[in-house]
Amino acid sequence: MKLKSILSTAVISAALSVGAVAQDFPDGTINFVVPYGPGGGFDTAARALAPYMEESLGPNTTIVIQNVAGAGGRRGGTQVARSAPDGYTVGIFNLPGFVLPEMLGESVEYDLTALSWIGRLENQDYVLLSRGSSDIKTLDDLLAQDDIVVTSHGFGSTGLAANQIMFSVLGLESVNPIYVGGYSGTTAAIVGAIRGDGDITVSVISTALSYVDSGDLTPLAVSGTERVWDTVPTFEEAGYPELTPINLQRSIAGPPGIPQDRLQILRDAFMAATSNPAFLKAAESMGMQINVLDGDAAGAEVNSSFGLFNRFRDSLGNPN
Amino acid sequence: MLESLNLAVNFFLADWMTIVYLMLGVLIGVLFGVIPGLGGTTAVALLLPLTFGMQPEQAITLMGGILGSSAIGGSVAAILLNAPGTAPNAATCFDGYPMTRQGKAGIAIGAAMAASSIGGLIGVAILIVVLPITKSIVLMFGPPAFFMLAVLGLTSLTVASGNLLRGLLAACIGLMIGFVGYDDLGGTQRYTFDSNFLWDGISLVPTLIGLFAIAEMIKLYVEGGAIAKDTDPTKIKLAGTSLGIKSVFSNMPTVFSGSIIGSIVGMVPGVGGTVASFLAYSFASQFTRKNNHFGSGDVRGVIAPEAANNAKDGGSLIPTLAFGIPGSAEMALFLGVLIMHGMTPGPMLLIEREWSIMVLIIALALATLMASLVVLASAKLLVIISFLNSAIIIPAVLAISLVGAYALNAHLGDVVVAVIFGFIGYMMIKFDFPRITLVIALVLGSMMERSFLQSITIFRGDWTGFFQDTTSLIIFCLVVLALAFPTVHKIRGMLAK
Amino acid sequence: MKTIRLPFSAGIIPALLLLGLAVGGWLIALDWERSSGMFPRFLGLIFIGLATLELGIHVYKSVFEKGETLIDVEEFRKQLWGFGWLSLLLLMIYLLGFMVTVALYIFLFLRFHGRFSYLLSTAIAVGSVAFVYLIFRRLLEYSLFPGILW
Repeated sequence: MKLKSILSTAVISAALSVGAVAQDFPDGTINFVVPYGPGGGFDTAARALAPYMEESLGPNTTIVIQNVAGAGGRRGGTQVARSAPDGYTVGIFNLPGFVLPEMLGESVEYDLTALSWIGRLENQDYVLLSRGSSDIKTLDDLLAQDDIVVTSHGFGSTGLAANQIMFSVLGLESVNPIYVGGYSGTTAAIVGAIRGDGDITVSVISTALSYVDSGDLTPLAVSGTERVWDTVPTFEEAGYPELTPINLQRSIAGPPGIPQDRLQILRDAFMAATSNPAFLKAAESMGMQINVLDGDAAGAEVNSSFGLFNRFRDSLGNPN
Repeated sequence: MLESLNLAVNFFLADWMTIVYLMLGVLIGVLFGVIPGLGGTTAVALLLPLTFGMQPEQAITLMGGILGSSAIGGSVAAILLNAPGTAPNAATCFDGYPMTRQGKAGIAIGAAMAASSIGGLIGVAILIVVLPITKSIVLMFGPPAFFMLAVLGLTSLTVASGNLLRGLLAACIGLMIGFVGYDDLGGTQRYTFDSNFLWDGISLVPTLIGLFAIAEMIKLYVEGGAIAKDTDPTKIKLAGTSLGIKSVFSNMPTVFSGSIIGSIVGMVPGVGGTVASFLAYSFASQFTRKNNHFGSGDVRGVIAPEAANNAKDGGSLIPTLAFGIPGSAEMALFLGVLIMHGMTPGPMLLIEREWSIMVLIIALALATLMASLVVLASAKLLVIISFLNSAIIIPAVLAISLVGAYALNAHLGDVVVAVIFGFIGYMMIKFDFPRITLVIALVLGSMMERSFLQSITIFRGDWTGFFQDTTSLIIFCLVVLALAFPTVHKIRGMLAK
Repeated sequence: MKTIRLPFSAGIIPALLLLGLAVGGWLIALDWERSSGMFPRFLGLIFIGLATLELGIHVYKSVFEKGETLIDVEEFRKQLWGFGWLSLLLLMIYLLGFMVTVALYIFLFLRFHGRFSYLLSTAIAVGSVAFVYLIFRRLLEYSLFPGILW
């Protein structure tokens, strides 16, 4: 009896000490880089997630958000990609936003596919919109037009790229649509369409909701597999399944080469945080479209993103 | 609407923590406003995470406190140090700083506070009045109107500056600097020389810090002494703020014109605040007949821009509330706060959360008043700064404004930009080139180019479209007037001789 | 009051610099594509024209009106020193970071330019850096540039 209890104590303490060694990481501050300014969608997403990941990582860890804005996100992205792969730096990334520059022929200082992917947080589908006061009420109406004017954030934006791909598949490139760019963001482009600078625009669904509710915009079709508005078909249903994978994803990753055990701890913490009902509730109230994928799947999405945009590379030129 | 107003007022009275948050916002807003380079934007950005646990309307109150008070803090730095605390305070430097040099800092501060408070209230009042039609107002201003507005800003300012040729040259420099960066319309990198930093262009705030704060410190170094040339110690005792306040009440037309310009131009997303205060200054300087000594310490040169840069808060809320387009950088962050607390910006915001918006409006109005009181209470202390030995002022201002330049984007490049413009600014002072015109050109240049190209695309190349868009046409007429008035004035002057 | 007399109107210097800037800017802009290059090229021409006009005016003044520049040696010396102090600040920030620079620079300036006592210089320097520390590190948890040497 005594031997057994001594033995079991020894075993337990051995197990505990092994566990304690593994728990050396993380110990201290983890830097969570947001490659955009404060207040934007990525920033609020990161700030919503951080406290819950912090909780899952144990009492010795704090997560500090660092805004590193500039060069359309590349400054922050480069900072993460070049930081030491010790697991103490992570960042939130925009797909296809970070894929685009390479597609558009610009030089990029890091390899998106080599990053240590931790998980995908959000996935947002796109909606093709027309001005509420125009005559274009359905996708078929749009296809019947021979004169189309589009408003967009501008060359290099994901909205424009999505629009160009949609038009390519819908066969509207031959109409030579006019693209009015230069708006300060998706919202400004939406207002431009409402004002009449153009008739058509593209946006992620969450941004467009308010304007559809008020009647200022009419949704024509959505990407993805589910209907959002009852009367509006998905591209797949309308006969254009190639447009289904067009989306905006927000995923977390660290620099290439994080040791497997540390990466696993980060991944586990991510999964735990994103299944926490308190987090989900907060996220929903903020309009986030939580659609979690684990680290490997998130990394795979990067490749599919490259594949998708590569296929339509020819349509992505500067329309002006 | 009255119902929401009622709800909002009750909210303030219900929980005393709300007023505490408001005070906190005000204090931080004033402090950040004073330090050149920081300002409302940075304050909101840095306090954003702290609002996470709060009730939404309390977060709004905190932010409203900051937004309403940063321009007031900024005016203090503009008046005492010729260093605009925030970009919209730049116009206050022209007469505020000369007043300090004449030992009249207290009067300037008093005038600035009163003008800011009244301007802020007028701005809020105008906002409430137009609240039902905000959407239509925003829709009236499209790319053609923005282009004409940019032209208006540039012409009225260039014409107003002393030496026309030098003013035009300064504008050219400003426009060229504005071109630096990635042009997303054409997809080309302009003047970036492959630098990642220059990809985003040259930021306004470090440029302002360099041109005004740093250049002035170099000048102070060379001249020696204190900022106030006449260091009569009795002047410290009479802060003079009450004189300043009185002067506001005897110049109400200036206050009104400044406030109205501020509200309207403040609506223009992005550039609103800075351009509004410059236009208000320019307008007042052109149309003041009696004893006009703008540029050398005319108190009306402080009243006009200060009324404008607080009225603009009401104006910049119009596109923000109507469509979720931020009217200024602080508004963009403020929208982030709203999103974080479950309120989606967009046309439904006004409809669904009207009382939350009322809370913001009340917070703004109160913040302006509270901030003014805070500054007035510390006026004596502040005025002393102008009498201090420059050896203390110079390194402190230099060091802290460079901290401010850095804090904007955590980029050392901004610090370098500020220093370079410090040198350039000093040269401009020495060779008598107007720095304001450079700044305005920098601010307006990109808007002018962008809206021009957008308009041409929309018109499909037919530039008569500028005269077919109603708003654009109206503003064009203002441009013609802005050019005609001083010309007629000068001709009259020549004929009189 | 020693002065150096230069036989030309002072305005020639900025005019030349501006002309150089204008020509350079215009030449670079010639390479750009249509919509990106339109405004810069247009501006470039106007800029060159204005700068040439300004240069012309000052050349005229120098040649025909015997315009000259009087440089006060004392003032010029102070200007150089001023530029020097400013450059030093930038260098210190780059090498040592903000916290150290704020304290050290203010101390150096007060001691060597202002001729304040060691005690007073140190006191003000410490006060300033404490202010910056409180606001940025404690209140905002915002880390300022640490300098490349550390």
